Amino acid sequence: MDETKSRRPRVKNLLDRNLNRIARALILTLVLGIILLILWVFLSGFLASSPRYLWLFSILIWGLLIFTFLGSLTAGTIYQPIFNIGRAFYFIFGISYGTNFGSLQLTLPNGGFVLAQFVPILALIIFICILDVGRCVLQIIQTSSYSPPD
Amino acid sequence: MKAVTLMMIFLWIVALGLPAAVALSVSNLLQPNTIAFREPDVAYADGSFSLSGPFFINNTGFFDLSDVNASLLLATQNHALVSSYIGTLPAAGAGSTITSTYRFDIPLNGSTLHEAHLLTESADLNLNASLSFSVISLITLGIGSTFVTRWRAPFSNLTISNPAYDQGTGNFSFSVSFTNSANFEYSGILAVKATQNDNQTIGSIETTIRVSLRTSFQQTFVLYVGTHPFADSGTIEMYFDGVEITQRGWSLGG
Repeated sequence: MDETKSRRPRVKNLLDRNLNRIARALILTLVLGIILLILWVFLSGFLASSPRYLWLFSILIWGLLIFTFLGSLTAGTIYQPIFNIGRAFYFIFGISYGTNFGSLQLTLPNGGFVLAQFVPILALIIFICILDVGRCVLQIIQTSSYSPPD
Repeated sequence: MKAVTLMMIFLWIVALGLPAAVALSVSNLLQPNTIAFREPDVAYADGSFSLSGPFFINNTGFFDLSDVNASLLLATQNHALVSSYIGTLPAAGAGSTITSTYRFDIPLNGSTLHEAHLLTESADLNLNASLSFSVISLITLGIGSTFVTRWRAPFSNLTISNPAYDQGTGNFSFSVSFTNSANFEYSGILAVKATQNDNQTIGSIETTIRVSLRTSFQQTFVLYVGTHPFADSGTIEMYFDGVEITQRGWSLGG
């Protein structure tokens, strides 16, 4: 009972100290969320007849938002590049699986279809994500090798 | 580190901007009268029906289209392929129009024509049209749709009726009638062959016919079979240009 009482001020202190950081993470996530929501509205017109793609896209969006929030919350710490690496790999697998490895086929309501193959574009996106991973690894090395002045 | 970040931003702009620009360009192609297949001209010659007509692509987008392939599949409602056309077209520059011609050849002795009774029965056929092309050699797009087109049988309402045997003259006679529902005229050799129920040939007769579009053909055929014992049922086979059109039973009793 006493232990629980003593924990409450500690949690409150932690929240007070990190309020700015939490607010910044929330705002950043909100901005990204609004951008992705606009993209969602734009894409849902095209993907209305293929709910599977919409469902996969929504999973991808939620994952990205969670990783962005965690990455922003831990900005300046060694955890940020770790979350960013997680986000990059999540995005690589999510977009590869979600787009059937760069080959989308949409069935139209009138029985027609649209097939789009964009493997070079997908390869470029994967390359950017791997570049991001490399950047994050450098950040981790930089942070872990940093020694505070005596 | 900053250089890597800047490079990543640049690559993200390319990776997202390029598909968006292509999507915008291609959406122009989905407007009416940018891709069109004209009504086919149908003809019969050398034992084959041919359907041919022009089609065009008006590239109203702002990217060149390369590797343009068109594919047309004509199939029955049960997905049995009747005929197909696959063609490669020249590249279509932005703002230009390319035209080409599609052609289906449907041989009279084609198996689908017989299995689906398309020579004697009009039917709805599915025309699957698809078009694929590359945009700036990075994105390949294919669009396709299915249309229903009406096949009008050249030997529709085919009846073989009034079989009769005249003992006095030794003649066996029957009437053949059908309607050319197709949109084309055809001519060729019509042959009929009658057999008795023990597969013994009674006789056969050939005649050259010319049937205009939307007209009926009716003729009574007379075969001399003599006065020997004659069965009261059998089959009559009808051929056009050497290809069997139908085989019907006949019976003197009805």
